[in-house]
Amino acid sequence: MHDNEYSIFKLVEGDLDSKEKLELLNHIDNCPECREILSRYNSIKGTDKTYYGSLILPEDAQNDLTRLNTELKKRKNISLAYFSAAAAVIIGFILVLSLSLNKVKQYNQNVEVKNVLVQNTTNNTLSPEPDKWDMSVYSLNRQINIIMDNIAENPL
Amino acid sequence: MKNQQHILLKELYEEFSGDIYRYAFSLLRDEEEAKDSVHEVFLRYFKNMDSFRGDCSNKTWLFTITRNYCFDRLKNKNFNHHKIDDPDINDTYQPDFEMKISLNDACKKLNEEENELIFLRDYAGYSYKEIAELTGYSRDNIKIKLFRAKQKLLKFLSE
Ligand SMILES: [Zn+2]
Repeated sequence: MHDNEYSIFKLVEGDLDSKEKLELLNHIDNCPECREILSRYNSIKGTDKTYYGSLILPEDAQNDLTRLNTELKKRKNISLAYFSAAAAVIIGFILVLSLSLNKVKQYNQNVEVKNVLVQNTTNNTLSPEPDKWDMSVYSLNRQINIIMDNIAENPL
Repeated sequence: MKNQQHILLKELYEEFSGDIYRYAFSLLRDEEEAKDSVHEVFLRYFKNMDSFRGDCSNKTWLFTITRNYCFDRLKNKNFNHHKIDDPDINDTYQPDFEMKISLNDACKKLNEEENELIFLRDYAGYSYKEIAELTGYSRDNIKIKLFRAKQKLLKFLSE
């Protein structure tokens, strides 16, 4: 390799500052070997450009645009279908959730009513067998507690 | 919306399909593979459109997709490297025709990285900075690699 080959390459690539460029050009003027190298690097740059420029996308690929359009449309439809399915699932989930919440609410109301009833009844001095009443209140409360625990553990 | 995509695809295809083909060919050295690349690159462009933030040009974005796709292909076991058919060279430039045929043969002897740099620099006219952004190589590294590639190419052409 000639000592200046890399500098000549840089010259062709426009990668030398003006001082380096001037020095090299002065040398090249007096050196046939460097002139030859410069001419080869100049020519290959041009040839590369023409070579790639002359590569043409084959004719049949021109139909590719139609194929691409069809494929993109198909993809869009598929994603639309996925989107609709996902939306349906979410709406269904919200419906079930709101129904369950209503049920829990209704259940709580029933429990409250029952508690009031039970309390009214237990406070009733006319109760013939207070002990028996206490037992049923106890078991009812217990059952309510179990049910409430279940609801808390399994919200739906 | 559908129509917008249709129009954008047509515009991009008309402007860039040729250069995507050439870039893919520089890396894959196979006409059929390069042709498939063009198709796949446009599909990926539209599939990942949401992640394209417009901080580079459409060309750079398409070239980035092309590069990723081609390197994936090269890694793929099904890829038959150098099973080359000679490309369709537009022979309207008669005086250079012989030179181009031999350049095509010489390019086959370079690796994909060397061919890529020659394509980006000499055909696409990319600056070192642009090549660095696209490839992730440092500028000094690109200069040295390109220099070695040209040395090799000149050597093969004079054989
Ligand atoms: Zn010299």
